[in-house]
Amino acid sequence: MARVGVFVCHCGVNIAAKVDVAKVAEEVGKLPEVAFARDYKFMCSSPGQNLVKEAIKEHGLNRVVVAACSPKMHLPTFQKAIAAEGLNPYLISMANIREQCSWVTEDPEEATAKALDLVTRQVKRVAHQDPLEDIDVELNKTAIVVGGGIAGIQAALDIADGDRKVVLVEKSPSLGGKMAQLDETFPTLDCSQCILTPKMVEAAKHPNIEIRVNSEVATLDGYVGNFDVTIRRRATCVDEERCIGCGLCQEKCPVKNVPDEFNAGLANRPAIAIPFPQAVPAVPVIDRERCLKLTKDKCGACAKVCPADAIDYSDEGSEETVKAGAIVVATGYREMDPAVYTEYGGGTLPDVITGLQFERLVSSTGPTGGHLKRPSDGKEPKTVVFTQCVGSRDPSRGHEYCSGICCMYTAKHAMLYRHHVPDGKAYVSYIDIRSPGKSYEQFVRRAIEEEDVRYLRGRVGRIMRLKSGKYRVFTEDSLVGRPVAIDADMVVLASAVEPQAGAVELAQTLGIAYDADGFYSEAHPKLKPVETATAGVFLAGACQGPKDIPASVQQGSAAASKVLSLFARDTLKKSPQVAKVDPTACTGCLTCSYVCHYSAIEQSEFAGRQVAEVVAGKCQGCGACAATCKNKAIALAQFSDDEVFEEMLR
Amino acid sequence: MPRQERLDQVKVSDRMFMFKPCVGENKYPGIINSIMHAMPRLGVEPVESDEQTCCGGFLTFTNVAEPTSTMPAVARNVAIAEEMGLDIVTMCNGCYTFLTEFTHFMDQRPPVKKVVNTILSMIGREYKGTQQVYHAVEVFYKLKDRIAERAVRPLDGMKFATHYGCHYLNGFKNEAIDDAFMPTVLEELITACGGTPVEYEAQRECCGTGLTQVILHKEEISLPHCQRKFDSLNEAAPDAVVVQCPYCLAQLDRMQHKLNWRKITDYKVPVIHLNQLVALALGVEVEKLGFGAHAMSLDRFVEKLPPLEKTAGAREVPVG
Repeated sequence: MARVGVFVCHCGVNIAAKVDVAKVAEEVGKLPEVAFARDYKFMCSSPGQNLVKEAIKEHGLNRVVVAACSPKMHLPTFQKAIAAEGLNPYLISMANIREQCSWVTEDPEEATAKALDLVTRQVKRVAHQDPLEDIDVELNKTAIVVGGGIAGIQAALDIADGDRKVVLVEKSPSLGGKMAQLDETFPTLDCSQCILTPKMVEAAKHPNIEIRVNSEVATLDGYVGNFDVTIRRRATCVDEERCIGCGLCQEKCPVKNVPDEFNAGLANRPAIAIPFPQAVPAVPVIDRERCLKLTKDKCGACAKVCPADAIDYSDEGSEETVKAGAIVVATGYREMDPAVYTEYGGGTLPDVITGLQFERLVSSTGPTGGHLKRPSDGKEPKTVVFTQCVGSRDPSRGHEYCSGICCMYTAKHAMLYRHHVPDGKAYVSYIDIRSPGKSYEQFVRRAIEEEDVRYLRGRVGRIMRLKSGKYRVFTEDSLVGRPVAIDADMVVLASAVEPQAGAVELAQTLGIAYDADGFYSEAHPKLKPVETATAGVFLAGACQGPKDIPASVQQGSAAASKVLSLFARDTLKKSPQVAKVDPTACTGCLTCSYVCHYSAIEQSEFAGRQVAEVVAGKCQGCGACAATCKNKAIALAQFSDDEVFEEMLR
Repeated sequence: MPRQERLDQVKVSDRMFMFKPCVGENKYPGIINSIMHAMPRLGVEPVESDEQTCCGGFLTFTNVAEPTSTMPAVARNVAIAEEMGLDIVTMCNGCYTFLTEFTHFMDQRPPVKKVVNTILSMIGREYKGTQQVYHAVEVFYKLKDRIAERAVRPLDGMKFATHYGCHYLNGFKNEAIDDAFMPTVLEELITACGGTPVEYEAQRECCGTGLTQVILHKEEISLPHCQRKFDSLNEAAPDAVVVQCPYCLAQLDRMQHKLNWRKITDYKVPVIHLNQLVALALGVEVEKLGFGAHAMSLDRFVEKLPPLEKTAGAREVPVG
């Protein structure tokens, strides 16, 4: 026999102002199931919880209904309270008389009637609830970090320092990401590679980190704590174990005209190449489309000169399955191709370059050895126009969002340019200057006031190539209110930040949500900035939205701390609200397994025939199988027919 | 690069209505005459109507008349072609923009269309919105391969500069078949005719007509602008400039003459309309192209023309 205790909360005046709480308690008290009912000002407060506990003892209650706010808010609070009194935490139900009643009902009498109705239904329901035990799930304490840029490296290092194993998966041949391509960083102008490469080396040397370069995540199976991740390695034709990184192969390779990705296409590289001198690992990769041996079965020079016998043309790539408990996605961003901006030449004018290309032009590891020369004729540009918002804040052809980093890196570029060419003129055309970071505004002011960078408020309308080799940039100074034409030697476009190519496909593989632009969605924009809707998958860096280096590092560390707190436990508690198959009623048609989104239903055997079985660890309790089963052989815990019908029919 | 999705919408029929531009009627008769002779050679029967009036664009562009008063004129002109069941081919960027824009406007706003049709009912006509409005450049571009095939006077060795005109590419840019800033259709047509396109610095600059039209006469702004354009044009020294708009033709042709006459400059680049270029290549007699009306002499251009080939169809079709 159920002995239900009902506790009606005032929530200050939130509920009590509309609902006659005393009357609700009194009326509910008359129900045959109810052994005790009362109201109280703040049921969730410590005295309120004590009230519940004492009533359980005093009146021998074996079921509890709390009529208060949403169960999302305080169900766990009261579950803990009744568990402290030895009651099973699943023998409680909450009636939401705040969000669904007092806040949305004008008339107090109607509100009271509705509250009474809601509470009564929960009383009827709770009487049929069964005690349940939390499911313990084993936990694999290896983390997979997808993406070896600064966010991924930071996350991997933090997890590894917490004494957990990490597999760091990187698509390109080296760690480093976009940060490795940068020259100096705002707002302190410290050298990007000088602060990044030690971290890359540290990650490579760390005993807890295994690095998989040239690799991508192909498939993901399982659930939090027990993921099976297939990692696919591209064919590189170079044995990582044997290669000693001497670079002889790239010296001897006769193909020299492959566009160099690391130098943003401003230089060429051989068909076999180490991506950049500081690469980690310093192992070259053969470009299968350009290699003479692989395309025409000629040459083979690299294999002949290799002292370590590391070249293997028969390499076809490989796949491995890694078991992991958590995944950090840090796949970063790409720079938008300005091809649609035909008024800026659409990428065909040689001296109209993107921000990343400018970084390579001023970098000491770049194609010009750190001497600023423009691509067309190698001359030092004496006038440079920096154009902001190319593809950002332009819903018609680019993206609606602000790329966030361009205002700062343009100020940095202009400053670097003035350092390289002290007698040169730097112009910046901008819409607004957005510099909301620590020391960021001061940095922009420094560019304007101390470094003599001329800021013109207006969007560039057109770039015209002149016979003289100069580029006439038509823009405006909207603060003065007149059109401006600048004859520049070089133009730098602050191209928008975009999600990586294949970002959407990866999101679908990992089962995480993404927004209309293709950036990955966090579970809550304010309170869960690194979690995703899929438990155990976390986000870091620019794959979630445009970010600068400090923010990417912060998010990398934040994701790592989430992983470490997950791994601090030996088992995972999982809600017992899962489906269960009654094998005696199951006909073994397995229709349920086709509707299950989580691959949680497996084939099993009972009394010598095929039946379905729910893997409790995978089941998310959606109820699709229970609704599908023609034989009513599947019941979802807490949503049995008894419970639901009692609640519905009273 | 031409925009394929727009290009796919252009349908060339056996008979098409040739919408005559005012500049063609009163300044450069060669524009109309050349297309009338060129179209049959491409398998299209050109149809014209004496009932057709001015497109009305000039009055609206210069703020002389309100759009509401010129819209019935557009509807009437389009209705003439509708009655014949023909799609319209304009040869002027102004006519094109004006007809396209106002028919779109009426099609999307039934109340406006109703008012316009009430006015038209007084003269016993009705605008339905069943026919398409094309620019000659779109039709020629669709027939590019046929032009190359039937070019009996391939303009081998002749250099042509291009000028597209703002009101086609920029004015109503969602309708144009090419990109506003990096167009190539004229260059491709020149290649199809056997000629060689040449670049010049001020290629994408406006012709300046907007500021020298009779009513908005601001020569002091327009002339220096034109001069910059002509300087780079004369430096590139093409045999002729190809335009697709009669207004651009008038401006580029007559302003060179004006500056020369004032003894400021000595320009000598002839300007021809796309219709004339295509007609030339298709073997239409030079006398029918109205070159005599051009201010910048085409004598040297005509002397340089390659001789007429006897048979067509022997040439290989150029790609791109």
